[in-house]
Amino acid sequence: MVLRTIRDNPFWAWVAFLAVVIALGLFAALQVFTRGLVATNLSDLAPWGLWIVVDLSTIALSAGAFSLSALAHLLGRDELKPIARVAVFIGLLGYGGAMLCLLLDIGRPERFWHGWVYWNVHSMLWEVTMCITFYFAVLLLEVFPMVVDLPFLARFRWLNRFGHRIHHLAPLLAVAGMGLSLLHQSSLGGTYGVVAGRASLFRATMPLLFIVSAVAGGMAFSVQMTLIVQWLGRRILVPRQILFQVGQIAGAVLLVYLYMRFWDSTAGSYGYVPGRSEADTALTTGAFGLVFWGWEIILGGVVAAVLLIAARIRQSIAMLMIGAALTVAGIIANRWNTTMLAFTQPLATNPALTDPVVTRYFPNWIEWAAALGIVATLTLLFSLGMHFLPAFRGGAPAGQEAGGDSWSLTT
Amino acid sequence: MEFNHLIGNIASILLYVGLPFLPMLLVAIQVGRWHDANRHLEP
Repeated sequence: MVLRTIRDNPFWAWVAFLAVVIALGLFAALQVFTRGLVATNLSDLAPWGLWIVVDLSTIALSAGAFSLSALAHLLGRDELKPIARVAVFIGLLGYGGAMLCLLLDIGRPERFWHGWVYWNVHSMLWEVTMCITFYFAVLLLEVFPMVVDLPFLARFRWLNRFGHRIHHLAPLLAVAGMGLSLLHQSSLGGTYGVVAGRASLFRATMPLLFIVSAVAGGMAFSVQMTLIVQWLGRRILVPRQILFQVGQIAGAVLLVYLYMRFWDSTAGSYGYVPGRSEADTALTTGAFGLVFWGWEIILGGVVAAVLLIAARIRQSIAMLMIGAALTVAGIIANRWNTTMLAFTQPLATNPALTDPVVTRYFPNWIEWAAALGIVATLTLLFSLGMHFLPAFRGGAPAGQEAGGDSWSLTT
Repeated sequence: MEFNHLIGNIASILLYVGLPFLPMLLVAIQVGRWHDANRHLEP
């Protein structure tokens, strides 16, 4: 019976595939919870690895939630509300995924609540922890009205009334979300930027680079996911002109980011800067060079920005799609390079040691399986949300009813 | 030796950049075609 459902329905086959990947991830997570971080390739010299790359990437790709909500609810761009809804849903899942990564990464998962109770106000990570917690609550409130519209919840009328009351608070939630996001998206860069012992990270521009790249990546990811859901679900969630508009904004922000990155790399490394010059050489010519030039700068930067901007002029969805996908790939490559480069370069010491303290790091199978499990969990929840939530029913073909009154395609 | 380096570099670019890019391009073309064929679904 179950097998026949999976065979006959591609959606449930997709769900079954994701469930298998999640099961593998759970097995890997169990290894970490029972044996500790010794089960991974992480060490004192390379304490952050693949999970932090996933954490930073999901948070960056969730930035569409606050930026599109701010445009829609605060700047009065009502036409952006349909894509802001998709972005908010992605944001909720993205932050949930980031918290799962951190639960694995902190080494003592039973102490996850310590940051909330034992305040260390001098730590960037404490500020990030608090902001992410509060912003996750904001995202839950933003998604709540979409969930209470599920048909089987219709009998709980008080829940429905409560949901719609929260829906009216959208502008307030957008203000709170923007404040919290601007704080922690930049503080994530700041967390890296204050690490004086890691020469490739220690720079004042990291918060700015993180926040600007996240806005471009988050908007592009929202466009990309919307296009994929529309294609696979055979329905329209967001009018194409809105997608072109958002794509163009993302392309422009990406250009601003590339400009900032150019000056950061050239002016910041003017002359010889101990440690940083070596790290820059490793990034641009060494093992990282191909990912840096190929994915981060050329395809994920320049080509992506040009395609996102030109897509609206050429009215080409294919250009928009590939531009958005390349932007997303570029942001992930950036977070990968930033983390991996930092922890595989010699640790700066003062005075300098004859033998620099250096380590090699590559994630082992437990790290890969756990990371894939988290990505599969997010993909599963996203697929279920897009499949069942009335807010994403959209304009369907052949006589199917379009979205309800409160979830219009145009506002 | 130089020729071998060149071949190695081209192979690396094709493997690490070209190969992942290809499915992205193919999916984008399909997504674009579907949207162009279904403009009538636009509100």
